[in-house]
Amino acid sequence: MSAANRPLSSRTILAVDDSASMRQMVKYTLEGAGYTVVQAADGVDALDYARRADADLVLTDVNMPRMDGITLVRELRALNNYKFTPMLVLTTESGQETRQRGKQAGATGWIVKPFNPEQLLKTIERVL
Amino acid sequence: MNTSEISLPSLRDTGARTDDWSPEQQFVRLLELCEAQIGSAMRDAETAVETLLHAFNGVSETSRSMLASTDALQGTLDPQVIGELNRQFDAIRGQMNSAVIALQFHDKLTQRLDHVRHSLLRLAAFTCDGAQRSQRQQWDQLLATLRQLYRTEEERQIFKRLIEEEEDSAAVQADPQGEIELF
Repeated sequence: MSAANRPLSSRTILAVDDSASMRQMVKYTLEGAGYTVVQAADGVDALDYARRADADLVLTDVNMPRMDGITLVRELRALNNYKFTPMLVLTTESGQETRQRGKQAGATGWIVKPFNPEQLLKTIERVL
Repeated sequence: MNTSEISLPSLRDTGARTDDWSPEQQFVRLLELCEAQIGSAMRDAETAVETLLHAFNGVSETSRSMLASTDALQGTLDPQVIGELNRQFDAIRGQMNSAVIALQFHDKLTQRLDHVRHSLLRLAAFTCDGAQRSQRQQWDQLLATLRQLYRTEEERQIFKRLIEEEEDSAAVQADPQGEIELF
């Protein structure tokens, strides 16, 4: 069954950010809407999770220790179970050059922080 | 938000701390002082924000429990009362959403101050190297390295205005905060 046809609570979103407060804000917003949220503190942790389990959507920061968000997107796209998973980049970076690198790596979209909870939820609904 | 990809030389290794007095050493010490002051203030703020986040989670959990209790009482309470309670919950949700946006500015502030700290340490290490600091080409390289640190639109605009001496285009450029682009 595709993600769009399943209840929200059974849809898992992998939220990746090295800032605990950002992860908390994302978790509050998504869980409040009914999603299940799995958190990772950087690209390495996220990739480790992705090799063990599926997620319906990935929401990742760019600048993180060990593995940045753009590398993470590229690595995830190489996994069979994440080839078609929507991946949104949530970052303070707004430059076109970095944005293009994200697009080339396989990101589905780019959101500049700070996010508006309602707009984030609408965007997620749209790409799921 | 991390700047770990730009390695920093340790001031302890630069020879900045010797018993000999020089203007350069004083300059480096002051840069180091500025960096330490910013770092200390950031750590203090972090503690305060953790408390704030804890309170935020508490309010969030309580309001969810109250909403669940209200739902459970749907058949027993006056519909007008239920309606009023739901309106109040909507108001709380709206305020919590505003808090989510506001709290993200702390993350952004931390990131920007971290970049300033790195810039100060870079400059301190650069100043310690007499051969480097006398060459214009080395200064250009230092500025190019520092420019890479500044990734938010606001940081880039300030860098452009003060270092590259370009006209402030912030006024004509759209504010990218909250911008969403689907590829």
